[in-house]
Amino acid sequence: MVNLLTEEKETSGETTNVSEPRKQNRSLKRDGQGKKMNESLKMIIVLGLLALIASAMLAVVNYYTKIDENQQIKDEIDAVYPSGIRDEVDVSSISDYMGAEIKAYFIAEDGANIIVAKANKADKVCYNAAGITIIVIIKEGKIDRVLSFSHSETPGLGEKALREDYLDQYNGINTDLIFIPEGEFISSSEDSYFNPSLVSGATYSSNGVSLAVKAAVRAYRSRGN
Amino acid sequence: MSGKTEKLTFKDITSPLTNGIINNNATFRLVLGTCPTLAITTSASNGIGMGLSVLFVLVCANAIVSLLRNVIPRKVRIPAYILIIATFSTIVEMVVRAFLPDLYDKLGLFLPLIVVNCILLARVESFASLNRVIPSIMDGIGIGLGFTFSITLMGIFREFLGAGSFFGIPINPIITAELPMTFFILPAGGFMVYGLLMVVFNSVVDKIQKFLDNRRQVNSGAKSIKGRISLAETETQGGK
Repeated sequence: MVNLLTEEKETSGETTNVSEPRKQNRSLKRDGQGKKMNESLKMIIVLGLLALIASAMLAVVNYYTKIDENQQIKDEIDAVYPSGIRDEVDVSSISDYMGAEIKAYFIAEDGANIIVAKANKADKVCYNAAGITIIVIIKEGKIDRVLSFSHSETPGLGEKALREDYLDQYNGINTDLIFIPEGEFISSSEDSYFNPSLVSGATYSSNGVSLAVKAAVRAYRSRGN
Repeated sequence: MSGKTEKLTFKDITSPLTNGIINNNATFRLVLGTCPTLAITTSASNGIGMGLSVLFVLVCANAIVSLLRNVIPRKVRIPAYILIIATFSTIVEMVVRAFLPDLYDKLGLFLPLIVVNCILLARVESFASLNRVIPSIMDGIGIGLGFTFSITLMGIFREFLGAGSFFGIPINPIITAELPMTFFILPAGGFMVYGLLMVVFNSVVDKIQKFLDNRRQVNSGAKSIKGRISLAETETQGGK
């Protein structure tokens, strides 16, 4: 029987021990594998620890910077319409209108409907990704005021469509005159309806405002008004 | 500078700062971070907001990477750097969203995209991973200030020419009613202003550097002449 570990070989009359190089090779291989294992382990530990520390830091920052969007909206409404909020309408039942969504719907103490509508960026609607959020106040079947809440339209360009002097064109318009087509967004309509003027060079932003107003009026109508 | 036992000299600390602002200016010299530069510089306030956000992330990421440069295995250095940068850019995003909602809306997607801003990865990889903490922090401050300065300058130009205002304040209602050139707010105008400012910045910096080099040469020449004269004087005195 040949013992592999202590095999001896006769070469030209000399006896040499061949087990030593093999042992060395094996130990070298083991060392190499061990090193690789150590390296891999180090990588995993370092990346794992970094991820752990990062997540802990983010959790702490998130705790202190968390924002209640609903509260933010209420604060803004308190600032622009001080009559006070009587009731809050559940907006989950109101469907989106061509990409425009209703963020909040409040009934004021004096019966006014305060609707926060957001037009998201879409084809020919809004220029920047953040979209346009406006507050539409409807009182006794007429649009009382349209106010800008948040947007990221280009200053001096799309932002012109969110300025007070542009939004004032909606004041006093009967909600029945707002044309709300289903299927495709149309900025202008027949003469019997109200056609908002568009800001030159800021058509997409003007369309964003128009769509948000239509969505707000649609939500108002959906409550049987 | 990278040696462990070497003491940091004043120059080691200050040179990354000045280099970051002038010689290694990320926007006008290295032409890094071009996407946010062109996209958000429609107003000066956007430029300042973006610049300071990048400055914060850069300083923090440089400091952490420099601290951990001997700990992070070389094979996974890039994922580790991205993780560190992503953490700080997310922190900036959360803070800006909570305390500066208007700026958050204006910067939009470009705020979270700081994580892939090549200025950050370039500085972290080429400087912070090879240098000690204080020079790395100074490099972060220098590059960050240089970036802030450049994009604010671009924002000022574009806002003034395109919207007729300065930091949101109309310059003169009589002028702004007629003169604003909308072109400068649009992407094409951004490229044009970027190119023009790059030419002006580089030519001014090069001229200043040439002037300083000439002065140094003159000074060193004068010194060597003085040295020769004094040597000659001592030789003649010795001869006497």
